Amino acid sequence: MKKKWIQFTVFAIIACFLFGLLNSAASMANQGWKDFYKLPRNTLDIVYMGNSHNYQTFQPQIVDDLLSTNSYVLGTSGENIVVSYFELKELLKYQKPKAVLLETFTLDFADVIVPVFIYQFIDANRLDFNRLKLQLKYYPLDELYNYFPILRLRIDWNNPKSFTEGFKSYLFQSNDEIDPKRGFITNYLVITPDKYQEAQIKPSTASNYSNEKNLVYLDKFVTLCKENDIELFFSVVPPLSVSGEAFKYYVPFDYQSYASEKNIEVLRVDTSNFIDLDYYDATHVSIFGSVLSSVQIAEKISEQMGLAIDEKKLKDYRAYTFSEYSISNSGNSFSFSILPIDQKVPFEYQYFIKRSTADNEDYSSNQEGSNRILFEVPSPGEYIIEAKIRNLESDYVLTGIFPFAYMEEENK
Amino acid sequence: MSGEFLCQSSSVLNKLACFSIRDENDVKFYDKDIPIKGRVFSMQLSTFIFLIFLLIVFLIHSLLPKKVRWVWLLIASYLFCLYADWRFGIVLLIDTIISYFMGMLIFKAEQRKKKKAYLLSGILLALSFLFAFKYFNFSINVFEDILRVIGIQKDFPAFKWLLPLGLSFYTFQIISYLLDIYNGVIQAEKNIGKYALYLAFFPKLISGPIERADHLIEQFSNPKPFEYQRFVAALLRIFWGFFKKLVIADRLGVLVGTVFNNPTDFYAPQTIVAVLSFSLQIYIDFSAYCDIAIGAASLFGIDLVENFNMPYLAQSVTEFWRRWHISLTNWLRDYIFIPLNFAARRKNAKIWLPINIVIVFLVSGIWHGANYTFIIWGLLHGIYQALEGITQKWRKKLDKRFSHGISGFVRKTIEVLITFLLVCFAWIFFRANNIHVAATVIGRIVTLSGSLHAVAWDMSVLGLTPADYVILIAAIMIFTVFEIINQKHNLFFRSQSWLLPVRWLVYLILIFAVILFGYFGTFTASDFIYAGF
Repeated sequence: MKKKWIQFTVFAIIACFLFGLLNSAASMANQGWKDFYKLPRNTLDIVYMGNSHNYQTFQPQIVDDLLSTNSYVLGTSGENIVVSYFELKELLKYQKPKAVLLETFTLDFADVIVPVFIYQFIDANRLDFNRLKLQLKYYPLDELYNYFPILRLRIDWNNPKSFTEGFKSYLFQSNDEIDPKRGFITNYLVITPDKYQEAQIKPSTASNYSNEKNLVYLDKFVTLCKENDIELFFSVVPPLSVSGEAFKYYVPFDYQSYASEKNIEVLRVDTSNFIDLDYYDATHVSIFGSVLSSVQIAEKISEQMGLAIDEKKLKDYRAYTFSEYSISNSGNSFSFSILPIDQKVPFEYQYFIKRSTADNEDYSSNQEGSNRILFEVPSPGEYIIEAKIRNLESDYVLTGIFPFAYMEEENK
Repeated sequence: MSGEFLCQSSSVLNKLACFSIRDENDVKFYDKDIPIKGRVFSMQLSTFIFLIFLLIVFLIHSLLPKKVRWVWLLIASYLFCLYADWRFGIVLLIDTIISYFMGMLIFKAEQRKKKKAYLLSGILLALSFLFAFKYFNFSINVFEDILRVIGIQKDFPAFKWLLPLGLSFYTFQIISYLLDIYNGVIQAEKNIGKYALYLAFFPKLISGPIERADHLIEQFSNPKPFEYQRFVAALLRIFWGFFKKLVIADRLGVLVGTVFNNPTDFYAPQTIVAVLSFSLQIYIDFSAYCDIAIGAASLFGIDLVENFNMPYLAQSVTEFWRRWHISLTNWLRDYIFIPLNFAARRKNAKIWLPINIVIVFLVSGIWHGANYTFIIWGLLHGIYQALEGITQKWRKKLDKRFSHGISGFVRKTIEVLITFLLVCFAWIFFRANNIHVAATVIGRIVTLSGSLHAVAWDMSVLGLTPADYVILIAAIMIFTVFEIINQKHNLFFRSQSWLLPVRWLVYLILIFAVILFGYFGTFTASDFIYAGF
């Protein structure tokens, strides 16, 4: 009988192990949260928290380079303050940062945009009650199976590649490396001129929802920071416009009044000089905008926290400000130009012109040159220009992707 | 019916009647006459949360002294019921208390007349609950239809409420309990707790099997002692049920739903595939539920009756009903058919026997659901069996005369196929939401609509992908082979004597087949079809 129970236990362990393996392979955890657990404990100085508006804006690499700090970006897509609160609780189990910057776009959502996004946080390989509580806020008990990625995922067996590749990459990936972007997710793509125009005109979505319940979690967030001697800042990066079904929960929060009441400093990124180049879409900045935002936020943090800023590097990063870009053509001959504000800065440019397909390999032309190039495309279709720009006085390489189309009518 | 919703009135009774609806998704139950949209958060047996619940109940059950384990099962059963909605628990409790005392009164009454009076009262009270929750709205519908036929247009307000969990099943258990006491088959159960557990026992609460008191109550006091082999067999049976439900039945359900929800969009070949698929789906779905229920009960040393015996191998509709939903068939036989035949014993049996058969299956149809389609389905089965009985001698003569040279196997196969087709035809009414849909489906098949066009044979528009079809075919083949072998050799037990690596591999394949191929994930596991009754 004892032997039977031992066999049963061993079998259960094997089954649980395989189940865990499949869960890990099907995990939806974002890279920021995956890498968070690889960080040495209690080493972070600054953490940027919030939804995609946060983790696609602030680059820890740039801020750390300027301020000699150790910072990190945490967040999930479309999260609101409820999720941020649970993330903060998790953060504090492993780190004791000096400052937390909470991006205020997070406060503008009455609910998470899509509940399944919470798994970008929940799936980061830790079973704990904190995560379970968050899960139960959005999914009822009879959908508890959602807590496990492999149960939540209905594998598309017509195209199992996405699952099998995820499984392979999980099995063979190197587990020790931390992505140097430290939670930042790059928006390489630059908004097209027509979408930029449209974004500026579109009125914001009116929502029937209320943010009132979320105030409880904001208060808890603030209290938790105070209890842990963390200096809390609100960071603000104003979007162009907020509209569409995806933003039905958008309820602008009066963070200024709240911040005044609670003595919270607001660090606002000045986007008045941002141009189309600096946006990825109506609510997110592009890599260009991210550099400018990161530089500004570093200056504000330096001011607020009394940290020394590397002036030389500040000047180098500020050089990545461009006044305009253009793509024009005559037939299949195209010209691309991008104009830095300070034309004395020595930049090197490298361009890749590719077809805009999933692998971008169909047609590729590699060119080096100045801020202006001429090139031809072989046939009508959608293309991209991938531009790598480096200030020769800095190590930072800025990569931007500019979509364009060669239309068949133009050939006539 | 009018759009007035009594739930919005301030009347306490109406508030009690209006069970909570937590979101605006369509009702997933199979109860077609409920004119509301809503979703009840019940712990369906095919769900992950049920497994967690079962694990917790089992662990606590194992730690408790034997004498009080049945108490824990009673608590767990009520928690199971209350999880869906606390009002379901109230209904169950009231029904339990009333029927318990009626049983005691029947048992203690000395005069036959009094016994009968208590019996009738008890049955009427139990049926009144069932009528109120399940048939009241339908009755109003029927009344409105009758008025419409005679030229009076009148809409009556509808009660917006859901069917309490398992009501149809435990009502039949109450009736069988009271009748068994009246007939002297059993004594009234003195322990109200054990009687309550007889009705509420959670593995069988939602969709049976319909247990008899003499089979179940005794087991609560003397459950089978724990045996490792039976424990493993129970777990295997549960996972086999999950496999059937989540890999096969839910997948088939997509195809069936696609066609039956919009029958005019499809041609004869597609419709025939949907009807055949439904025949498979309902069998696999319901038998899967029973596997999980029987396996779960077995964990606690309780045996529930088997409910299926490869029904689609039946050579007649009569035999089909000896193999399909066996506990219901036995109940109908013992408590309606036999008494009806007894009452008609002095009359012309040749006439009354087929009539009684039709009555029994009319009751069965009504019991399954409050809709004209269920009534037609029940009537069809009654007519099939009545005709089988009437034509039995004549068919035997024909058989003798024309079956020379035809092997027994071929003859049996033909009989099985004919039975299957008759049953499939009846399933059309069972599945269709209303008579119009059923008529459309039948019309499509009978006229062979579009059969000459290639588009009519396009099965890719039925809601399943090519990979789904491959998985389905493979899973159905595995299911078929398993069921055939399991008939003779109980594989849940026999497999435990296989070589360790072999049996572990098979068990792991079973578990992970459910996880990887189960049709759930971004969707919740669809409710068992029979949960709507």
